[in-house]
Amino acid sequence: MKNEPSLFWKIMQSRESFLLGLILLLLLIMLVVSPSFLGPGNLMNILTNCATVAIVALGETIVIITKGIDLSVGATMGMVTLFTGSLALNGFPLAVVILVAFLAGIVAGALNGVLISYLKLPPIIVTLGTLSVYSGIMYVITKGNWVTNLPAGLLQLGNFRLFGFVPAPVVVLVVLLLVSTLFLQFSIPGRHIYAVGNNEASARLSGINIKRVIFSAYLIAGFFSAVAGIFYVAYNGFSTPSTGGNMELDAIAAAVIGGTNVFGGKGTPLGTLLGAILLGIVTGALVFFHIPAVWNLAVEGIVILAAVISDAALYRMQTRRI
Amino acid sequence: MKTIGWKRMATALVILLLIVALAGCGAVQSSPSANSNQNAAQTSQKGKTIKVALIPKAIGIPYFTGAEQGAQSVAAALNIKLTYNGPTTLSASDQVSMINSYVAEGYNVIAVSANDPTSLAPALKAAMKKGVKVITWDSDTVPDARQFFVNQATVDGIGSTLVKVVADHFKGKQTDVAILSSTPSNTNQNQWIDAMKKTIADKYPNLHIKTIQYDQGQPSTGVSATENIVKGFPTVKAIISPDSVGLPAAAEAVEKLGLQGKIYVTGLADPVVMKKYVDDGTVQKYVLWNVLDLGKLTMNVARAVADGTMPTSGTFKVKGLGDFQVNNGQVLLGLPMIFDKAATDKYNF
Repeated sequence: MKNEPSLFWKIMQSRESFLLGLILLLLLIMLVVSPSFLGPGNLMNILTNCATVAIVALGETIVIITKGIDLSVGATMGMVTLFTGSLALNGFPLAVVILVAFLAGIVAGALNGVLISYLKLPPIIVTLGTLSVYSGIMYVITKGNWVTNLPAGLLQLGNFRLFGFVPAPVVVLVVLLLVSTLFLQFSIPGRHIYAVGNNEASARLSGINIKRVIFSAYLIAGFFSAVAGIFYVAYNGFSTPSTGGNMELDAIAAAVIGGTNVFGGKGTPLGTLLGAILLGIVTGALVFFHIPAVWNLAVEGIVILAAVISDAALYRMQTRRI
Repeated sequence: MKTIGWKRMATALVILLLIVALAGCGAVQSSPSANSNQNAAQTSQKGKTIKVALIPKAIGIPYFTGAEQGAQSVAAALNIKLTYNGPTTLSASDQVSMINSYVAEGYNVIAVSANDPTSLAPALKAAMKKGVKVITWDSDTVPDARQFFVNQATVDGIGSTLVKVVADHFKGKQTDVAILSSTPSNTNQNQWIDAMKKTIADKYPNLHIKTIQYDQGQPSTGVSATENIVKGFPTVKAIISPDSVGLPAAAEAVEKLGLQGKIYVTGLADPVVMKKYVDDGTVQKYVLWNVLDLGKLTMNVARAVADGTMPTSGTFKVKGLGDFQVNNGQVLLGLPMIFDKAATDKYNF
């Protein structure tokens, strides 16, 4: 037998195509078992429903590539939903609302960034702290009330359909996917993010400003959470002071399933998106299979574990071949 | 290992202080109503003024805010100095420390909606030993940890009323029903769902519960769960959500799918949240007890307990509110209300 890897092996080596294959396989099973799952609009629904998680996860991916972690992304998103909602309810024009929402997310991300990069505090502790701070601020913003009965302008922003069939959150997701892919693959600051995550010491020796790179990763994560927050409240039509709770876990899960390495240096936006879609399809499929919903969490956990195990197995096989 | 320099430590401290200062500003802003109340009570100077602490499961839920509004509206007339405060999350341990501090501050009555039936008991028993009167409202503790429980609605009352709304709409037609609950571990939700099942088995054999899904307390999860229900169970014609996040989320999803009028949505939620969906016709009727009345009744019970005039069984008469049944320390608010468009416009909680 030759050492030349087979075509199948080559495809399997790319996490993205592996996930895409897995998703297609799942869809094929669904086509046989429950054709209505692939019925008109349902796939778009699934994509729409995982859009906000996926947007948050894109930001999380960039942080994880730098070998960091951001536990505050869900709280930042929740905080932004309430800022957006209450400003809109108080009659501020949509442009002002969006500007303030962006600002809130950027400030939240920058605070994480300063504490982690310039003060060298451990990311998991810092963002655990800011997770509490930002969730606490949510109660302050509305004095604990919900934002609901939102003005039409904001709701239109969340419910417009491009070409009549692509919902707003999906449009935003696709744009951010393209932007973050271009940023990470082709821009110099983007390559620096991988460099820092791969080997901080050698990145420093090659003249990269490590602090600035790490700071910008958390800033970007805050910005992405803000975008997700705006469209969360605009699409779902209301938000509560506990919105976004546990979303950081979904975001991390999507990134990890998508092949982002928690030890840094590895991961792509496309992989993360596929990870989020896989989680969305699994949750949807469970309902179509009429499996009691109490199983949802356990099955999602199994998917995450399967992703991590397959990653480790692939890595080992790969290194053995070399 | 590198150590963190003084400059960095100082910067970290300054940032922390800034955060605390910001949080402090928010807290001061949110409490002017409590201050003005205290002043009003102090000027009345009657020896009979009592201090009552009304503790919800958590602040920031419209439902509890409604109860506070009701309580505030009668507090002055009952000569009650009312403090409304609770934890920000559904935490029993936070409630324990609040109870302890209110006892230390010399409050006469503590009225708490318990996050947990047992873990508040030691603190409440200690309070009663010190002469503080203890009542529970909305959510009870074990009976020996309180003197009275103001029960907003019985489990059967809620379950049967929710089913009745659906049954009245479909008038005997065979109908598949889905339930959207909050989390699988929520005791209230599970008891209500059991009561719904019992009512269906007893009285409405034409209704069939096909699935129970969960929103995990998140609007987006509620919306996607509803979409999955509609697509995965095409025969379902009614969705009942006994959860105040789930019901608006289900209505939102049915609207997005353009199925208004084809899928009947009802459940348990606050009028202020349901207004949009009632106005545009997605939801016609939903169920909730009158939370304002719950707050008012709780204050009246607090006053009567402090005065020593509260009957442990029999009838408790409240001027302007009605007669309430008392069974063995449980004060019943009565059957929940069915809200339609007119009632939704009238109430603001």
